[in-house]
Amino acid sequence: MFSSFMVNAWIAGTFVAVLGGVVGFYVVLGGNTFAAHALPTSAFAGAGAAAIAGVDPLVGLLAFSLLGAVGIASLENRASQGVPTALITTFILGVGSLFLSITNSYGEQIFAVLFGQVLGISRGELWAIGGTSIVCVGAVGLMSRPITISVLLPASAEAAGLNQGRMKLALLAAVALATSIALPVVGALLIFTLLVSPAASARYLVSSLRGGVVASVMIAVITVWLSIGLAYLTNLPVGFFVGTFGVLGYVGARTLSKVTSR
Amino acid sequence: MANGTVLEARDLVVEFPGRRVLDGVSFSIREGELVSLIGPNGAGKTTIFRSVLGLLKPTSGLILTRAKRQSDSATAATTARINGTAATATATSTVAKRAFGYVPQQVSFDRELPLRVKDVVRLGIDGHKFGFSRDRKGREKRIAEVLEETGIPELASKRVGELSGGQQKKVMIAHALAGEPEMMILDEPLANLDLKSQDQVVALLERVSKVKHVAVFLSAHDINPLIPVTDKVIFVSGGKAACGPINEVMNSEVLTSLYGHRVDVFDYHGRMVVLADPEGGHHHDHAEGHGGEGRLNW
Repeated sequence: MFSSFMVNAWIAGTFVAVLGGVVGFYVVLGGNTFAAHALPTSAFAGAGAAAIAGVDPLVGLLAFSLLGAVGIASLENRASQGVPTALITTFILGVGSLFLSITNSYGEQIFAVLFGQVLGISRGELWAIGGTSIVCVGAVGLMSRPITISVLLPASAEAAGLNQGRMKLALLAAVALATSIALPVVGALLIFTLLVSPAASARYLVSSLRGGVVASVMIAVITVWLSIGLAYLTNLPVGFFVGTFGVLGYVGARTLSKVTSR
Repeated sequence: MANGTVLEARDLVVEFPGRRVLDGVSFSIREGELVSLIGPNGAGKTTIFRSVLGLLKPTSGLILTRAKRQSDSATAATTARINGTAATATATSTVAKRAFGYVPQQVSFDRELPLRVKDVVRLGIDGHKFGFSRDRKGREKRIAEVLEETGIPELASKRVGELSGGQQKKVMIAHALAGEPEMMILDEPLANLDLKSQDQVVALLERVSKVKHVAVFLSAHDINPLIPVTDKVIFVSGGKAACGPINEVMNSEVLTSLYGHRVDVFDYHGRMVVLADPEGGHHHDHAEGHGGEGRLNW
């Protein structure tokens, strides 16, 4: 369980869990879960664009995720009710299907993009995942107070001189970055689980902002560690366990909260 | 700008496509004064607030503020002329954002939100700042002070989503006070509160203005709960405004002039009742929809 390729998996999984726990906390705090679901779908088209251009898939993932973030931040507002996010998601999926139809090599990457290959992470990928995770968590930490007041008290934030559009773009850019980095580990379909489930569970377990971030990270790390360990022992997909523990954790936290509040 | 004045608006004009919302509105607010902005829906109360906060570029006019400098304790009179150009409007908003604490009308918190009362107050101190906080001890001390001043120290560790509407309003006032503003701007602070909570919020705002000497500028539909504490009223209607002590503004002569048709003001057991002439055009329709035949109930 701790051979060299598994060590890479444990380390990469831990980085991704910490990143997902931190970024996801602010995503859930601001009710941006739909956008967090939409951006990973950009990976589908991003991987296709990278295959056609002959560049590293990570470059394509990052470029398309950031484009999606800019599109959503520009068009979404309080009155639009998620319509721009839905349209951008379907548009990107359409572009992805176009890329799929014009290249053969893209098809081979699809499985890895959608479901991840945590047990096949190389030392080079590990450095990229670790470095980007640290930068992303640091950036979110520096912006944590303005992001928090922007999502919780938008009128007060505006009166204090914070540009709401820019703050939303900053948060979505962090989601795009987290998505791109986490894809090799958990895949596009399951990064949403890591971004949303630990933070949503933490809401029911702690009462403070700082406690919420810590709890979100801890739940995400435990989810990933359990998933990798069980995947190794059972030879079942990591994604299956991540998704299962995501739902179980959320339901468990809600139930515990209801029981203790009686 | 006169000594002790924290805000002065002169001939403020705001035009939206197809209509003039404010048409030469002038008023001034001194430190420690509690000023009530009264008027019917759509009269321009929120437009005045947004202009003062620098969130809206007026078409023309002049706003003068005495901004508290954050880098030192000195205060400076700052003048910004608004003539519709981008550069001068930006200058106005920069000044305004440093000077005011703002309490929006509608704030709702989920019960499960991991946000304690002291977290909300903390955001009022440095929530707009990037980077990591350096003076944590000073910040925690300030939070305790503000919670004491607003009379809610026992709520410090409570989830804000579990509090009543009146308690949440006090928390938001603490949030706005935490940044030590020269003036607090509150949009409809008494809306959706029961009578007891209204009394508590009014008493708190009186303490803020008279004990802390922070100017309080608030909007309301009904002047009655605010009569005992209001130093000055600004009544806005049809783009025009009258400003002064309650008895000088809330009388038949001034309101008739503002509305352009006859309006009667009566004192009923210490409460003000404002009645419009039933033949008074569109204002009559407004009155019928709210407070019965001919009553202007804003």
